[in-house]
Amino acid sequence: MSSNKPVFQGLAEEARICASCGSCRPVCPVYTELGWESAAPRGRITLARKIFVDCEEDALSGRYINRALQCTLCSNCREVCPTRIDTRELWLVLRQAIAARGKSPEAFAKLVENILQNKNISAASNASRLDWAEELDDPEIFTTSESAEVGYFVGCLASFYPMVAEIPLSLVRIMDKANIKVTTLGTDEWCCGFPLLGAGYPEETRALAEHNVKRIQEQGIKSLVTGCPSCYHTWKQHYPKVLGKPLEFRVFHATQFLAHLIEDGKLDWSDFEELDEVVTYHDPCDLGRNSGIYDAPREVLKNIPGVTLVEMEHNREHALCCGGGGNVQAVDPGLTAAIADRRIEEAVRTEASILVTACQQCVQVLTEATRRNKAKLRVMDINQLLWMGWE
Amino acid sequence: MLNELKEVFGARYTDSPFERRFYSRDVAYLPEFLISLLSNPLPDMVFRPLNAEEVSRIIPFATVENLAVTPRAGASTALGNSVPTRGGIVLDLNALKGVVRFSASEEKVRVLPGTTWAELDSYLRPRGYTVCAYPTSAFVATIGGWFSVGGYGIGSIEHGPLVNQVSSLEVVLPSGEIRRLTQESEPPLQWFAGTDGTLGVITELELKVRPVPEAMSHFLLVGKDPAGLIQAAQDCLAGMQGILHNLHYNSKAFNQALKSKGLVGSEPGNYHSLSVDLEGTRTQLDQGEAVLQSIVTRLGLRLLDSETAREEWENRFQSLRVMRVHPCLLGGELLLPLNSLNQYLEQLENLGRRAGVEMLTYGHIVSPDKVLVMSLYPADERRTFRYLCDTSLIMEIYRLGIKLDGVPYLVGFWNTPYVKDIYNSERLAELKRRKTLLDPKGIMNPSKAYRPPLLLRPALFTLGMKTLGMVRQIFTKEANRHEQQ
Ligand SMILES: Cc1cc2nc3c(=O)[nH]c(=O)nc-3n(C[C@H](O)[C@H](O)[C@H](O)COP(=O)(O)OP(=O)(O)OC[C@H]3O[C@@H](n4cnc5c(N)ncnc54)[C@H](O)[C@@H]3O)c2cc1C
Repeated sequence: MSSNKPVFQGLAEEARICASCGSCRPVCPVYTELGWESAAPRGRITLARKIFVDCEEDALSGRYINRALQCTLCSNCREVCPTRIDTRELWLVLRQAIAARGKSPEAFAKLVENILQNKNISAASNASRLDWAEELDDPEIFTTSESAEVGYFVGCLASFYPMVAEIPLSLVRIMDKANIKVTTLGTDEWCCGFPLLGAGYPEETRALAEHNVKRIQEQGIKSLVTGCPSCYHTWKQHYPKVLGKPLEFRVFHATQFLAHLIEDGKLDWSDFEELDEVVTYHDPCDLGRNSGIYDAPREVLKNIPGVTLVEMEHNREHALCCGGGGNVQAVDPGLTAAIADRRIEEAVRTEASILVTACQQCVQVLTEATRRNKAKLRVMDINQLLWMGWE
Repeated sequence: MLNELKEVFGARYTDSPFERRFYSRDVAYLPEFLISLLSNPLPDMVFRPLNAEEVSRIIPFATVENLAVTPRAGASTALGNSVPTRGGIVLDLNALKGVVRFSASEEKVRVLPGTTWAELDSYLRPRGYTVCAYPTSAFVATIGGWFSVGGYGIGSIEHGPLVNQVSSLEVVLPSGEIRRLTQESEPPLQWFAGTDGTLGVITELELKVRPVPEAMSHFLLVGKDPAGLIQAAQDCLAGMQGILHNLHYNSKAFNQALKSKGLVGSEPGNYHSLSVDLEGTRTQLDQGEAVLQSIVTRLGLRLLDSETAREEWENRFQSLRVMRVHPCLLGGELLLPLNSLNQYLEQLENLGRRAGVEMLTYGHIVSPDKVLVMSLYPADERRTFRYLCDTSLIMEIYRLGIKLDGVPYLVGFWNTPYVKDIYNSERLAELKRRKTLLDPKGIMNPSKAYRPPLLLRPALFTLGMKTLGMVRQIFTKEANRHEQQ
């Protein structure tokens, strides 16, 4: 058997290996919207070659930096690269090189400063991390940072953005329904650091990782669940790397956890009201291509009484991006919107009534796109959809 | 006139120096000074038209201003085909994308030229149809781009070059006129096949498609030398008509290079290999397998397990993964009589030995008697002068193939020194006549396909290459001496 795994040996090496064949171009959501060669992955690598192999520092111009950051880190390019370049890693390291030269945009600098100061991506104090839980019958259960075998890492978006607050509520209610005792890190939960990686500051994530892991261990958590694919990816892939050792507890994305609950018969369907909905599922990039989780969400959907799943033209490994990744929204919100509009167009074509996903950022971006396009489509997270039957 | 066009195109027009730079290259890596010595690859402006009407607005402007017009699609060719030679206008045709009409009953699809082969196939497959043939660069290569070059690839054994599958074209002629052409029209669509966009811009194509075959099966044969595998290929061509979809050869050196990075397993990594991919009904495939088994036994070859064979098929778009082993490769591609392949490989090995490089070769059999053979060798583009000297070997590869009745595949810009080898004199005269007839001002993709520019004229070019070759020999001798010490 041969190895199909993507490889990253360093920016200069990979920039040389890139054949400029352009296979990455048609699948790149940014190129699809902008249409210029400079916006295609091969274009970005062509100039990276000039900068890092030919040492033409002048090529690292403002225009180029703009292009380098107009990338949602969706990894569609990695899927098709015939030279097997781990392009996602390449884009991250490129951002590090930009940051190291002090050339990151203002928006990134602010983002980084904010996270390091507030320990979250919002402007709010970390003390309000659990505001979303106020809606629960017994919000107290989370405020005490009780110990429990299952921990819920809520993530910044679910914690601070009212637009997606229903997602954590649904998840903990489902857990309660399954008689799972769950705890959170309370106001001690710090941002996982994913936005820092995307901005080119991996070293700055170390303190966040150390803190979060220590708190998990102090609370005796054995299984950590998160509803955010980017947090999941960071916990699973980045933390062991940055900490130099494997984690001593298991990490699940909510969809995996739900799939286990269903498989183990932990959910009581007797009072579940059948939904009668045709849904289509959007694979979040950080859950699908970047973490390889395609089946768990589909298993969950197939088991929800009254739900019929229809796939979009681009699904699983080939799913289109929603446009919300890679901190692009921070530097070019118009681009995010255009990419999301295309995804909504495809979802509408399925004639599903609900577009389900498993990511707070995707929910946010796609909801806005549905409104903009006046699409007859509700966007929701898989937790919300499942909880609907018990609501 | 330009202002009007700028207004029409808005954000689909650029003259920004930053942006234009990306349009001055294709797949090939060449030192900028060399390109600039021979041509001006930097366009003055780039337009991204959405339809034939928009293309036809640009052409009169180009004619009046005497600006060259270079059509560019996937830019996945390596011979400067879609790179300007004297600045001017690049027409980026990638926005002309999508299926216009599909008729299952007629087994035809009308498609815009910027659609990639992968995109067209993923449109057709859910509808139970597929393309007849496609290039192994299907993820980037466009329908219009492949038609404008060679048009040979996977599926060509049965369906021939792409031009055979095309029943109509819409083109914008250098006069600005939009015409629909057929195989019988005046001019016929065949004029536009393989002529590198030098006669006009293709804005729509109608091509034959076919139902997805019931099943496929994949086999991988290995042998210690290529002769047996070539014989096997010939026997397959004779005995498996109608079900033979793909025949692909990899040299041992190519497989070994891949193996060194774990990109193929130890088998086929230590052998020459031949992929045989069949399609048809299950019964046909069973019969095909029996035929193949007897060929394998008779020729003393070995058949690897089906999983390895399947993997080889799935990697058919991935020949470039060899760049993980050698990040910089030079080489030449020839359309060669299948009969000559063995001799070619023997002589190529000698050439490689003399030149002190390992030749990595793979080949697609594209017709009952022709193979499209690519021979690559490692180089280092960071050492500019040495790299330049290394390019001299490309001519030697071509000369070797030409002696064996082969021709360099595709012309573009960099193969113009070989036009007289590629076409006989009548054919070349006819091609030039057509060019003069349709594009008297010579604005469409100049310096491509017919006549080399001064420095690439055969006499000068050969002298230049020979000189570089001699310097290269000195390098090789030096390297050998160092090695011996
Ligand atoms: C890994 C790899 C594998 C390959 N495999 C094959 C193969 O199997 N067979 C093969 O033949 N080639 C192959 N190629 C070469 C190349 O990819 C193909 O020939 C491809 O079809 C070119 O299409 P393109 O869209 O990239 O065209 P471009 O490179 O953009 O253009 C090619 C030529 O066509 C002209 N052109 C493009 N579109 C139009 C249009 N609409 N109207 C008029 N002129 C136009 C351009 O001016 C240029 O002269 C391969 C290349 C790579 C990198």
